[in-house]
Amino acid sequence: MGKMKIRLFPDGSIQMDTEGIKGKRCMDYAKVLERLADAKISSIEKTEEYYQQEMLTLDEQATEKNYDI
Amino acid sequence: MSITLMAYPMAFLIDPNEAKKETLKPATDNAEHNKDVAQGNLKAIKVLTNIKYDELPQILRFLDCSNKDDTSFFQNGLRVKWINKGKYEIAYGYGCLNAEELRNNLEQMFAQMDKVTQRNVRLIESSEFFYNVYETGYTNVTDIYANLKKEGAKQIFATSDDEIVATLNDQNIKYYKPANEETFTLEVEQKVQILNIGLSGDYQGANVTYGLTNLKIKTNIKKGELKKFLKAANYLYYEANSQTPLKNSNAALNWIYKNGYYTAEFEGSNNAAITKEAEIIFRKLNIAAGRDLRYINDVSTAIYTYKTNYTDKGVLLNTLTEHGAEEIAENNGEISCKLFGMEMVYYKKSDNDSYTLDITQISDKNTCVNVINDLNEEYGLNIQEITYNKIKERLDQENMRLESETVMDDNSIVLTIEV
Repeated sequence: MGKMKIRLFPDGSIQMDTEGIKGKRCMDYAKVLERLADAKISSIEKTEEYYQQEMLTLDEQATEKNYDI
Repeated sequence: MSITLMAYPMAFLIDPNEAKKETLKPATDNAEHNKDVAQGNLKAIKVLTNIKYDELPQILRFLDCSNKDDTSFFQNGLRVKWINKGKYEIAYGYGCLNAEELRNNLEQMFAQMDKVTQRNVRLIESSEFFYNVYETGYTNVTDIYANLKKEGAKQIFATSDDEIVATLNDQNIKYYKPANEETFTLEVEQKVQILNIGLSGDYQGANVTYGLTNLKIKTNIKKGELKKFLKAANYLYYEANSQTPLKNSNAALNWIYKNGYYTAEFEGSNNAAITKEAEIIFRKLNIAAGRDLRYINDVSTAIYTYKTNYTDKGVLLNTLTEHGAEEIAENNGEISCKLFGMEMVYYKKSDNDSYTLDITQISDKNTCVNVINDLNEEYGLNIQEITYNKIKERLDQENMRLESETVMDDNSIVLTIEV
């Protein structure tokens, strides 16, 4: 199971890190943050885990969504 | 980690880290961006007077000019067309080589008229009104309107005479098309308030006093500013005796430096000469400085402006209240208040913009900067709290669970959410 770590700074800005979420799915959580916090994304840094493929099994339904910012 | 992102709530216009670069500026900085263009296109200067129609010919007889129909012709190239509007005459000056010459020659003419009439012929209820008249390249009202909106003008109206009037940077302006011309002309009002400078004695006429041979005016002019302002206002400064020669030889002006500011000491044998010279020089110095240089209640009347990063009215009002602001009022989209004696007005130049702050009655600029920084901090803390509450309330809707929350040493809050 993955995690979102949302850090709220005293100046009002927000930093979010995702853990355990591989591939492009983690970009979905940028949209989630926008909804949760009524926020706009100002920058995104993709780490090594982003570039790892999520393992799919035959009986799993997984859909890749295109996400552009 | 798979991604790290930075975000900011929409109660800010831009990223708070970017917004930290904004600084407090004198409001006059904004008004000067087209100064050179304006000087080049200055066509005429229109001046309101308190000279009555039947009085004018008598006065003009004492001036070194020839008159034909309603226009006076001076040897220095100045032309003045006299326009009768109601009770009094309006002087429309034009014809000189450049803007500076036009101003100087008009000033000279009015100085002579004042001498003849023994009064300030431009004084109208404690103010002088003159209008700089500029040529523009505008040929249609749509372009004028669009540019006025872009520059943040307020109260833009089209009149029944196909003119456009507006308020821009606290000045009243008017665009109109003179007969037989292709392009619009711009008129900018330059109202100058002649303050009561504490004279005693009886009054004769509009502003002549008795019983005064020495007049001291305390100013907020600092060292290093005096020579600059005097030069810009076309006055000399003799360092040896800290004097400025005045146009009227019956009056003298000494500058006394004390406690960080200059006091202007006028002396002379003629009351009218002293008061008149004091009015003239301070009018010109104020224009050169972009602020009223005379101390009023020991507080400077400079206006400073600051572009905030705040977009949310509710959070702004809460922040001001929590910070102890007094007399908070909303009017026409503007929020005004008083804080540490300073008068503050927040307004948006457009709906999608953040609030701009104008501040007056500043006794100390450092205090002003500190207040702004404190308000920024408080606004940020309020946003942090609001965002924290929003996220917690909305997790259910996203089918997420809050695993933990931690407050860090820097007072940031970390919410760890299972997804």
